[in-house]
Amino acid sequence: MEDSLSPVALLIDQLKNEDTQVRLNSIRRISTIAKSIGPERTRKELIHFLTESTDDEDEVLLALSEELGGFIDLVGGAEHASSILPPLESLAAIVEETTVREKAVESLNKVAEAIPNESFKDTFVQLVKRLSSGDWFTSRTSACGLYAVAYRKSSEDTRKELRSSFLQLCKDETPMVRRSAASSFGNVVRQFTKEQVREEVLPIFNQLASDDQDSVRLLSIDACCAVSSLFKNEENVQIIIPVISNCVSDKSWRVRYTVADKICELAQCLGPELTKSNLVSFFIKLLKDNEPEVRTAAALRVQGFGSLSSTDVIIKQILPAIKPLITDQSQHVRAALASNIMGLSTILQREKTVEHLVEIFMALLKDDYPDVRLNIISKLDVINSVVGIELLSQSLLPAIVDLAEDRQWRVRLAIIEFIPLLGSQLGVQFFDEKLSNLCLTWLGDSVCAIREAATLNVRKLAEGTDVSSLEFDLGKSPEAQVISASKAEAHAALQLASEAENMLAGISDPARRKALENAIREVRSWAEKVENAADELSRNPGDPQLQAALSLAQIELGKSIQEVLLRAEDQSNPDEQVAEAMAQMKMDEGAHSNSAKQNQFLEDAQSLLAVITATFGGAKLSPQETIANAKKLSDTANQLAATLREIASKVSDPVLKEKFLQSAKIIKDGGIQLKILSAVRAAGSDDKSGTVGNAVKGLQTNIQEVVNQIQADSLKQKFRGIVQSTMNINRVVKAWRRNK
Amino acid sequence: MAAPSTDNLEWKFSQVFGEGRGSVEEVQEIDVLSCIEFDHSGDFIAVGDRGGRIVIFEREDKAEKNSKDKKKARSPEYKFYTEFQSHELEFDCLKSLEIEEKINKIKWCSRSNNAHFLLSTNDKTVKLWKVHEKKIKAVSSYNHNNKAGIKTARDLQIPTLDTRELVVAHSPRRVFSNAHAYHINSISLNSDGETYISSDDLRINLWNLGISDQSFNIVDIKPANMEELTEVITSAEFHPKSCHLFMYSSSKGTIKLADMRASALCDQHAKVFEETDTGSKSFFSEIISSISDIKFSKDGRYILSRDYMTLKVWDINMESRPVRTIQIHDNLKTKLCDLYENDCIFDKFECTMSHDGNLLMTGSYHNFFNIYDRNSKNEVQLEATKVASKIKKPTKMKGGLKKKSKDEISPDNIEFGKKILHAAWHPSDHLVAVGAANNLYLFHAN
Repeated sequence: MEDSLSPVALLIDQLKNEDTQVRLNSIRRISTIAKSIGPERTRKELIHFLTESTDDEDEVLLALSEELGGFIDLVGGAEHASSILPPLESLAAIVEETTVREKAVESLNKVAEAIPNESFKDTFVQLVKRLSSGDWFTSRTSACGLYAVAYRKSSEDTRKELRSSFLQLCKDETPMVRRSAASSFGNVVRQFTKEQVREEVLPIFNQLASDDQDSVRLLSIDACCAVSSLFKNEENVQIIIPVISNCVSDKSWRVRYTVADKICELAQCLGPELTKSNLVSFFIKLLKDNEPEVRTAAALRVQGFGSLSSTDVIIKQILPAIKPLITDQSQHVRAALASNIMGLSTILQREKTVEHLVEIFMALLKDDYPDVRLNIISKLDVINSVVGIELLSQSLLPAIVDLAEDRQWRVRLAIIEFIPLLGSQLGVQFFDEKLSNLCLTWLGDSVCAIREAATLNVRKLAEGTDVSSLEFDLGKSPEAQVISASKAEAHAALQLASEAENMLAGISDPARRKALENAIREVRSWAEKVENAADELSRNPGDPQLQAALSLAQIELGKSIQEVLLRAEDQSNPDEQVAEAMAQMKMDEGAHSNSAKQNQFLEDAQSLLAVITATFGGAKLSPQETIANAKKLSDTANQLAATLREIASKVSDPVLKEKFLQSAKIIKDGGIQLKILSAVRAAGSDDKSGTVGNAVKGLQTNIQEVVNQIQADSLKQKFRGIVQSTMNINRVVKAWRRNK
Repeated sequence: MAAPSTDNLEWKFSQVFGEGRGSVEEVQEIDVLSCIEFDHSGDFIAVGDRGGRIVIFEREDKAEKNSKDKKKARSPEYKFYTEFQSHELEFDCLKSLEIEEKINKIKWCSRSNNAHFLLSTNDKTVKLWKVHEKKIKAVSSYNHNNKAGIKTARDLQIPTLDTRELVVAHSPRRVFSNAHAYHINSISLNSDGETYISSDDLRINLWNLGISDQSFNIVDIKPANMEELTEVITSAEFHPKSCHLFMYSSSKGTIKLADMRASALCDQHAKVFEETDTGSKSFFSEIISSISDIKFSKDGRYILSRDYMTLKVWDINMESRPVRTIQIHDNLKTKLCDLYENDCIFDKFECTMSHDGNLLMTGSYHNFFNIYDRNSKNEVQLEATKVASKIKKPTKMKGGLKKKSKDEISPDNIEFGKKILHAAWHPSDHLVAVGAANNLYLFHAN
């Protein structure tokens, strides 16, 4: 017995531990304590104790308020539910932290439901009265949240009292209490009869709606719904519409903002008739408000409000009011409109969308502010389902490309996330031609988050669409990717060759035919070599010579393919696609030769490193020898730096270029430093402090770092280059097949 | 409504807090008071100092203040209530700048329960403090003390609590930081009870008391190019009744009234209170026209402003000129050069109004401060000093007929090191609190 009770004993002791966290933990499990000691002692002792300990940290009190809400069974069921009230009352009354009070009110509401009707008046109603007449506004604000349940569970005579005291709170001198009363106004008033509302509530309601404090007035809008539900349309024209009308032209923008924010709820409460006759004009007024915040809120309700009004109203009244927003000064208004207006197309259906909405979409797609365009693009699925994407695709592409290269990486990120969706909507053809390039450039973005998203994107694409040009496995190492990409390239080249062979027959000029035949043979042989080199490399990964051989073969393959294209195409009437691909290849050739230069650099650097280890690694050298060696080393380092600068000059990626230039400087500086140090040392005595040795070591590590970096970068670059050229080849093959 | 005559008001010294004999030299820099504020009931005074501390004094005769005869008989007595460290010296590593711990302003929040809440600010960070009387409760009957062991659930003991003593506890509730690039010069609570503004040299931000991680910028006078900067904000205050109105003063001597209803950003002011140039310009006129403090009267009808040489009362309905301009220390006009030399010309004197708006007070040098009747020529000059012979006699408000009285001190003998920058008026009584160096003086009239 003792064993099972000692944890509970500990838990009880911890209720008053010094450490907040321990107390919190204990409060969280207070139901365990209550269960152990049984309902009677819970009522008599535990609840009493908790009532005494309402002076604690907020987090503990918050937990306590929440736990007490579930105490009804623990104190012995509904008949004893009222015993939980004292601690909750003191929490609701004096704690200054709003969240704690709100939680206590929530729990009080739960407990109130359980209290039997016979004792309700003497317990809960009394509590509400005490709170309502509390000295501090905190207790009165809490009271406001209890009236709804108190009223519902009370008999008619008590109700009368409750009514008057609630309405008294609505007139409280503290704005905080009036705000709280205005918030619960709807829930309480809903339970009044129509006559009571008319006689007692309406004056108060009007008073709230014209309160001095903006913050009270704007809450009265919520109450409009509750009040309006009791009346017929004709009466609401007298009662509610003037209130809303006042709010719409309120001096305070926050009040107008709230109307704009709540316009859909209002339209629902008041029904279609009043919406048409009154709310539409209010809504239009809000769309034209002076304050951008209000216009933004209104623009965000265009779809919602539209779905509650007729097509006719949308076209004749709302759309004319929306049009000026397309060129609104505030980008936030435009962005809000862009995120929402697409929804109208489902309401208007195809024909009317084409007629009225498409021009708005187009205009927004050309907006200067990226968020606006992004919002349109992100909702494309809606319009796709209504009118199909073709209508927009012409203006879509430039917008997407623009966003893809936006300076803000968040914008790029957002568009990446929509690419799979776009891919599926626009079709494989469109994607292959226009978008696959973008997807690949993102893989090399300078922002990490973009690269991450881009890889995910590629995977989604691979799952969702059949995009041949993206066939590579992202799980592999960069080199493995290069290898598989190279194979794909060789494969594409062979396809190109056989396509070109088919064209042989169509060429009448024998000399040209001969030349093409030769070129095709070249392509085949180089493609084979590329494949072999790739195989070789996959067997011996990391071998620099094999890497060089592969790039060399690829360069030759590229040249031979160009040759084929040149011969196969009718030069007087070149196919547009093919010509474009050729131009691309010309450009890539430069990159290829640069990669050859990088290979050269890598080789040089490796050999230099070898020399360093050989000369400075082991044997002790005489001063003369050291000088000579150091001088030689520094010269080589200089040359290396020059090569690196040359490479950098041909790299198009600015980040990479900067990196290379920096490395070149480091190597060069290292070389010079070495030279100076060795001269100093030779002039003086022995290198006791090992400064030369250190300088050499420094140079060594620097070069090694650059080498590693270039290796990694060049692989990435190479990969991109290969994928690019594969795509070009595929493009030509496709064009030819089509022409045939 | 006719204002009650002030002819019979007799001002006399009531209390002084703080060590030392009142001479400037022996005062530690960190002990110098930097702000004074009465709470809404007048039962508490909060004082901030350069060392980042807040000291609160409590009225001793709170219980008996309702009985009227006793109130007449005795001047109110305050006693020490609590003291705590509000701000610490900080270092902004990014800007390589030290952030002083000096409390620039304290404001009492309206009470929501039996605890007090006050906002305090240094140059960068506003903090919300809770000060309350905490019952120290001792726990008896722990279960682990139960030697007999716990055999059944009957043996489990719920702790019983005995109240041992009351202590005044303080705890930081919220820290509103990282919203000001420049130095915060004022904070002001809104009448809606849930928001407040904080103003620095170029911007004013609006906060919700419950939310510390976001604020809204409502005024921004920072020019695109800082070289075009011609004025800075020196003070800002909410209207005491209308939650949407607030005003801010500038170093150019203007007071702008802005309406938050009109738009989210209040750069467009609703009214400008500015005196069209009067009299001659001099090298110093720009410096001395900078407004150091502005206050609304309790009903929100009048605005009191203080610049270096004058105290002005503006009617909120008349923008063109003040309804009253009072020269504070005319005798310094010839000394402006010296004041510029010793930097005194940049001193920021506060001003304050009595609860009914009829009496105005502001400080001066040599530990003098002046109380003026807004409606008549009555005025009185008092000195905050610990010299016993000077403080005993009550001083009547007199018609200031600008005659050279014997006791008016010649400008050459004024001690510029002694000055009364900070002042506060009791919210319902003729009781003023002024700060001179490290001392808090209370003066009372009946």
